[in-house]
Amino acid sequence: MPLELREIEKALENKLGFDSTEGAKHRLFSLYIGGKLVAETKTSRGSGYKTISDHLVAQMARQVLVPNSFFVGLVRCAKTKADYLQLLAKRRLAPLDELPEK
Amino acid sequence: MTSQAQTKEKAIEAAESLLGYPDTKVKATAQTVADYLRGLPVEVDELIRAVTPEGSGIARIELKLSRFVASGRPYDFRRPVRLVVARDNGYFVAWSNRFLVHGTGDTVEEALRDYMEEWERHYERLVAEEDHLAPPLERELAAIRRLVATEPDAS
Repeated sequence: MPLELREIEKALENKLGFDSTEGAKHRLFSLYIGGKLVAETKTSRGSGYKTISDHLVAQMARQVLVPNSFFVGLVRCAKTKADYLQLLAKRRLAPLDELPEK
Repeated sequence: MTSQAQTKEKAIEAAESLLGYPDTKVKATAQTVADYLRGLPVEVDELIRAVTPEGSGIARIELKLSRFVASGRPYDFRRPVRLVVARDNGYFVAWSNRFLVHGTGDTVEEALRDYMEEWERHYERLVAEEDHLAPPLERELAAIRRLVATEPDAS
């Protein structure tokens, strides 16, 4: 399911708390929880990347450690940051004492 | 000579017999195929153009690479890494199920180069943050270290 680049970047930065760094060709997003680097992903610059299609969405989902449909839910506001942190906790993908319990 | 080697020799002969062909397009295509079969370096997009019907584009290609080259430096692997490059909405995306990175580009070659640059950046970041990695990235760093046989000097 294609997603708008602007919506993805907004969700990563504003909703999920990823830090972003601007590069020449890409924008890099990193998530730290409890001082640990948990995930990083990137978006590409250029007019061709305003709409992000299936393969790229799937890779970004993998890099932020969630299933594809969950990532789409995060961007489309069907899922919250709490949902994301709970999923990371359930799968033991981040420092557990820093994550909310269900 | 095995039948596979014989077939390859025949294909090289066929390609080379077209090198004197007057049509420059045919000549260029034959040269690319012959070079590839001889183990010489060819641009991946040129090879794709040479072996696919004119006007058609590829949707997906899979490659096994024993070496990544990023920032002009080689990283040799103990086992080949399978990379997929697929066409998305007007661009190509490159990825491997082994690593948590991807590359993008307007051509297959660009996506592959971007992938390798991104892989190097990611690897260097994992090393720099070694004591501050969550479990998935910790596992990824360990897997990369097991895979890389030789890497360039930091100098």
